[in-house]
Amino acid sequence: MSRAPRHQMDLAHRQAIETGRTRLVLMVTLAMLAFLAVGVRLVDLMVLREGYEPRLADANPPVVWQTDRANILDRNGEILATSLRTASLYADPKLVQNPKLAARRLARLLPGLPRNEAYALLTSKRRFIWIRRHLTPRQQYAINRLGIPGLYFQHEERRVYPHGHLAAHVVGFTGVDNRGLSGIEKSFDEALRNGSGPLKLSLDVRVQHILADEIAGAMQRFQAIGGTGVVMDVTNGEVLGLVSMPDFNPNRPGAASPDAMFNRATLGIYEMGSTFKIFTVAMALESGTATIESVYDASEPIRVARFRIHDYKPKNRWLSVPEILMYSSNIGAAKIAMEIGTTRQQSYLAKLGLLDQAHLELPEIGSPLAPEPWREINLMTIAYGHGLAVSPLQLTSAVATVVNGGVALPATLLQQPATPPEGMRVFSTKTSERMRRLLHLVVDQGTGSHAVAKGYLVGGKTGTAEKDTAKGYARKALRSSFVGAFPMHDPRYAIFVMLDEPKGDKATFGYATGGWVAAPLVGRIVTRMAPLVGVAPIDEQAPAVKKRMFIEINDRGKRLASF
Amino acid sequence: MGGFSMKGNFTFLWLLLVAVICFGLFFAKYEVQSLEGELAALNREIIDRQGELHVLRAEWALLSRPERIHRLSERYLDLETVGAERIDASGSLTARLPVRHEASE
Repeated sequence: MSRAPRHQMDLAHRQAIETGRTRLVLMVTLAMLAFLAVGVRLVDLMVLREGYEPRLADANPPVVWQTDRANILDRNGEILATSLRTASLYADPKLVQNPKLAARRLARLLPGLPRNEAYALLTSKRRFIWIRRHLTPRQQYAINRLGIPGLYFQHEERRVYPHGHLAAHVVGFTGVDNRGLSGIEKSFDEALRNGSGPLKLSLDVRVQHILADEIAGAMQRFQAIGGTGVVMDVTNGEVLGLVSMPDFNPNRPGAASPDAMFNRATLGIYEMGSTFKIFTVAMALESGTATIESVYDASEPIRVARFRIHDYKPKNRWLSVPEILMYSSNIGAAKIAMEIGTTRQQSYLAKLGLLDQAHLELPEIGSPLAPEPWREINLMTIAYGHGLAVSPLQLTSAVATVVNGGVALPATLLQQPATPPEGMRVFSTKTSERMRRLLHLVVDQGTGSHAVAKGYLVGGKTGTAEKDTAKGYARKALRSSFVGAFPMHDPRYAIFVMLDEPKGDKATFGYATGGWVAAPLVGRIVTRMAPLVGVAPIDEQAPAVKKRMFIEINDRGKRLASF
Repeated sequence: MGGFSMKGNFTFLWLLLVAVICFGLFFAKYEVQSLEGELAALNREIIDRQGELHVLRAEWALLSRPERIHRLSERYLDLETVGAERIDASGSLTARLPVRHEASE
């Protein structure tokens, strides 16, 4: 009896212990499982390697050293504009203990800062005062070594143009706060400042130098007051050289005169003279009002209203179309234009981009000056380049259109992708081909003979315009130009040069016309630049070349005149 | 007794493991710190060098500008513009060579 309850009690006791143990085991097992899970995860994280984990630890790549304003490069990566970090010196006059001594020491290190001026700065009442902006590293070191309390350096950037005045009108310049004030610096100000990397232009500093060198030489020789030149790739509109003289040093734009700052190549608009005969003839051939064989009576000057259209060197006979270009006959060009008519002339000139402002990535772009209304007399004078003023850039673009197969391409200062841009067709390839032969003829046998560059098949047209002064056209003040392209069997580059008020010398027999002063420049520029831009010379006397450039002059007029 | 001693060994083993891991962690941490310092120094140096390169490039542009090369070559070299008559296609050279290799074929 006694056993039973004891046994029962024992049983109950045991049961309780059993339950407790079971619970304990359960808890411990759970806890161990949890710890095991954590452990496994730890091993997984620390020991095992996941596929996406790199073999080596990644550190943040170093911050790329950058200037606040991006570089401007030429097509070959030559630096046209860059920013250099400089130190500027400023002072907190309140902290300068011995301003007299400090002023003496500073004046010795900084030329152009007299002692009394330095003293005045260092004793000023303000808490911040610039002593000198953009120190040289040597000056900075020397001033730092003085150890004058109250003097501090502020790091700043300064725009530097290593090529100086070369391409100054294209690149432009910036102000003290490094904001673009002219040229590419102004038109791409935003892009240059937002850190999107260097800006690559279509310009070639070598071509630019050749162009500038030749124009400067000619200006000096012929005592011209100005000069301008453009070199353009006729296949894509890229401008390789753009010169306006006199020029300026963009490193010191403050010292430049307004005349030197003026971009004659894009902002200047001029009556171009006979170079316009290229377009007159091209229009006539394209619209079918004339053929290569057509002849025009140039035996007498034309009288219209109070004007008299005459030739510079009259032949006084009938002239064929090639002869009109060769001898640059104003009468002939006017007569061709009369058959073309005002509407068609306007339409072609508009398609050539000669009636609207040119599109170029520069803020300095001039608007052409066209007659309003466009009368018959305008039709006739514009045929030989008077009465319509355009910029040298526009003229070069239009000539590129005539020779490149007849497609108008927008001029650009930025390097273009390899695929040629789509242009607007103005002339048929056939007309363009004819024009190439005609322009080669002008250099081969006509007024442009001085533009010849052996082996490079130059073609082009001279232009001499009397300057439009307040008293009407001035006889002695000329703008002499030449526009052409090479090589004429497969044109690559169009070149324009113009001299403002050249004076003839002994070697030109006193002549200052385009054929005498501007054409030789183009010949030399072509000879110098062709090897650089990869245009191979050809044998001009080779029968195949002669055949390609052959054109029937049709001097029937000569025979007519001799009757 | 044996159980107690085994338990003691076990604890000792664990303590040893913890000590080794602590030491390893400590060591690795310092190693990483010093490597990070080195990396930062290298990065600083890269940036400094980039800045120096930038200045040198500007100087090179200044020294190699065509105007200067032109002036120097006029002063020190007896060179003139290469005319078209002195340039020819590379293929046409073979015709001018004294011995023509095609002849042996």
